[in-house]
Amino acid sequence: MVGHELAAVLHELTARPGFPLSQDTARRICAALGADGAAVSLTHDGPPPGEQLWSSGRTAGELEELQFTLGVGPGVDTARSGSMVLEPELRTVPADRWPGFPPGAQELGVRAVFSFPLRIGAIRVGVLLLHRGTPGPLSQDALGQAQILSGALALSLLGGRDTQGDGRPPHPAHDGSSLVVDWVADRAALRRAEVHQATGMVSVQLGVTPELALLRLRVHAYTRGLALLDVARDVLARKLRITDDGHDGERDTK
Amino acid sequence: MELADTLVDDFDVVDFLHRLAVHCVDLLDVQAAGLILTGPGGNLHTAAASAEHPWLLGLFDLQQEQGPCFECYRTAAPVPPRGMAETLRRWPEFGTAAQQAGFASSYTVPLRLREDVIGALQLLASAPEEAAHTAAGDRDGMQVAQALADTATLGILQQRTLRQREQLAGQLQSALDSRVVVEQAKGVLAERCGVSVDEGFTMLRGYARSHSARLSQVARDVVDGRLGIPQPGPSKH
Repeated sequence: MVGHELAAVLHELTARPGFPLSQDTARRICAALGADGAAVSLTHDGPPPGEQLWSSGRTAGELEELQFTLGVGPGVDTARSGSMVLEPELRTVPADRWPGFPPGAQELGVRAVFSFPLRIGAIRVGVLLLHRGTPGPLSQDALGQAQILSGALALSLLGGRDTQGDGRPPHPAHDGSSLVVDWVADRAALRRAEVHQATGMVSVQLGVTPELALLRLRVHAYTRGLALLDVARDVLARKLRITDDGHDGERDTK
Repeated sequence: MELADTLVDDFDVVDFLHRLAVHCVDLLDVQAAGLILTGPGGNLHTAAASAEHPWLLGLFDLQQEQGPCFECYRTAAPVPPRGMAETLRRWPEFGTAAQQAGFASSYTVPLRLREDVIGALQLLASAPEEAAHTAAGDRDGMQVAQALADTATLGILQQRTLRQREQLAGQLQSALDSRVVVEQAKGVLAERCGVSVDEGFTMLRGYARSHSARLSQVARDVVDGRLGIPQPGPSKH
């Protein structure tokens, strides 16, 4: 039965490549892999975990967002290393491994997290992040299927025309292919645009690189238990100014 | 067949094809083998041979536009061995060269996957009986030859596909990277000039346009502090 779900997903992905994935596909992916939810993010040279492209549901989206807020998590490790990361029980993760992530994830009702790289040959393009509310490892079957699925998802990002998987080359790259690339990049980047804009503002305010500016934003969010996106919005609205001394000035908005 | 194990992502095509040619000679009781392939321009070139002898390579080189290899590629069908008299008649240049090289017969199969034909695999024998034996009597030999050709075809096509996909993946990464930098640049300008991020974007676009520069490059220069964009003057209505 599990094999059928995956086969249906693969068929769907090759017949209609691209994102977002349908609710049906999302449900099948979760059923095939024994997960409660899944999220796909794209990686690039910028700060990991990259940009969120799609999530199967609210928890999956918020879990991926949590990683982005904190800058740590299994998906972040996968984005950096290109290797899968399997964590069947967040309760027993040492506190210094992903600071802030296990408690934050458990608050979302998540106990197990598994992340897989999405790769095209030597190039890492993204991460598939799975979660489950009950602890325990992925079955051997699920593990194998997750790897197959990761390959199919990566192809889907490119508009994946190689539908038979038999080595036939896709049609020559023309406007169609680059349109897919642009669409995917646009779609992903829009989500966190405000965070990147705020990063730019803070980099000027503090006279630091964007990487350090983002780190300061993250520290501010983490120490106050806020979502990074909300902090970014406050910076953009000029309600919040990140300062050197750590006593970030918040203007009363009354 | 151990060659099938080499069909993984990063195998070296040239090395793979050379080993395939050598394998043919070992397996099929012929004296030489070679592969011609289509290149990016659509022309055929000698991709590999079982031995690096100039006279052998030359024999394949001259078949880029005539001879059994060319005919095989053109018709996408096997070209069975023919007697030397007929060979000389059909393909005078090839026949002469083959004779001089000590070969008496050839058997050529296409490198083909459905309607994609990417070249040909040719087996060369020094004794006519052997090729006849292969062609007429030894069905297994023929099947092995075609199977080896099919293996080569699959490997090459997969490798080509992978290169194209890696190119696209690289483009995706660049596009994403550029989007992030543009957003950062909006923030930088908004803070420096005390304007909204939307106005920052307008400034970016305006500068890029008037300097015929790429938006992503202008954004990068702004974020890295290499470029300051003057604030627009009061707008005229």
